Amino acid sequence: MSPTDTVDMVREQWATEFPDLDTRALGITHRVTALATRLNRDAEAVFGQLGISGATFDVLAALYAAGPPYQLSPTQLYKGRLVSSGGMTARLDLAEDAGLVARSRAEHDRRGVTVTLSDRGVRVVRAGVGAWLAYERNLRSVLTAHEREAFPPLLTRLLHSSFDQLPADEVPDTKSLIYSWVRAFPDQDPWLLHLLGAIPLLASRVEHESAKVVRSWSLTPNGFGLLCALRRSGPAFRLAPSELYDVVVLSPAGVAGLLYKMERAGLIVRSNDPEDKRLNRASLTRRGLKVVNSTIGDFVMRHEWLLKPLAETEREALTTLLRQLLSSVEHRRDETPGAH
Amino acid sequence: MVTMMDVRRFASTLPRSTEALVGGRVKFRVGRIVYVSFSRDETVMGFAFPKEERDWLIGGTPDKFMQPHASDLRYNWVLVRLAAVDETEMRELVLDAWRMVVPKSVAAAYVMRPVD
Repeated sequence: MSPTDTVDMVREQWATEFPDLDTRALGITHRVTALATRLNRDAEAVFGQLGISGATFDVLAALYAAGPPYQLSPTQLYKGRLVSSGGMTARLDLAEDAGLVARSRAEHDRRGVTVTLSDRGVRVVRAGVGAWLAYERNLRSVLTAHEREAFPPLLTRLLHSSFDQLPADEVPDTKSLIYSWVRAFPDQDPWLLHLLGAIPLLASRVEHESAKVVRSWSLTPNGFGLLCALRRSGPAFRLAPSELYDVVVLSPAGVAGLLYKMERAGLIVRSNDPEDKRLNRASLTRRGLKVVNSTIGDFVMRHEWLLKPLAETEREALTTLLRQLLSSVEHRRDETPGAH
Repeated sequence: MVTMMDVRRFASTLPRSTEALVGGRVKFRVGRIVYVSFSRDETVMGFAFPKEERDWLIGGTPDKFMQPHASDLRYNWVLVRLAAVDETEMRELVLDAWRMVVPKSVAAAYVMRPVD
């Protein structure tokens, strides 16, 4: 019997509320985004112990993966990394202030700027990868040897399946991105590097498509996820904020911000818990209900479309493996990453 | 649970952040704007937080978050019991508080890694 996770619960609730809704795709797509968010949070805490943010680590790792002399242009750095050029400039300022990178004018082109990893940057990126993979090493033991072997090719299939629907010039070179990591850190577990590299890429792809579906209501995927949680809870469509933390994988502060925005948009209202007046509850308004009812069909169809090239057996295998990983990650939340 | 030392270690990595001792209480500021401060006994941390989102935050976890003192209610400010948060959540709260008081261009470097 395989363990259950939040996504099993989500799909059961949908089945009760909308028996005709086929939510099988969420078994893969929702797990990918939930995993990415949780892994990302862990990573922030692990890198934080080294005095850098995940954003800074990404820059350092990209430079390191380019190989000696660890140099790239700012354009090479932000292309395909889902960061704006302004955001990249700010990241480089920060990394340069911390002595992790140095910017210099390129010799052959007076207008061009080159970013080079400093010796200190090299040490920090190696320490960062080491600490991060050490923290996540238990992910290996969640799967059997046979499953571990089956997983990377399935992930690659999933990457192709979801990215091949994009116009060619928008497709990031996911393969070389992941393999450059595996090559750059030969003393680290390649299986884990592959997993930790692929999940965020897949998640960003899923979120991108989700965003397109919910954009017409001026919603983000997170905001829509919150409305969906209220809708799935059944009539009276009402939950306490604390019941939402795990479903939308956000901290109390993140959920509070989201609830406020939804309230302002007239999609939810706040009431007090009759048993404990200090506690709030959020309920869907009629408009909120309408938004979910009229959008959820398109939403799951879009996710289904991302998985279209996959065979039924591949989908089943991916669902099983991702469930095991997510359930393991969800159950370890009490430990603090990087605590000493 | 986290302590003021954990907060200090994290805050010291944030650009433009400085520490000050005001009336026996430790505060972290950017320029003259305070974004984190501690009670004298260091069990409660105040932090910058949008006041219009405050009721949802406190009403979600009233054992963890508290309204600021009456004189601070008009500010973007909330209190949290340090015993009730872990390292990860503390970082998110402090980072968001810091982000509220620095220029956007500085904050841009410190966004969490993109998931959307």
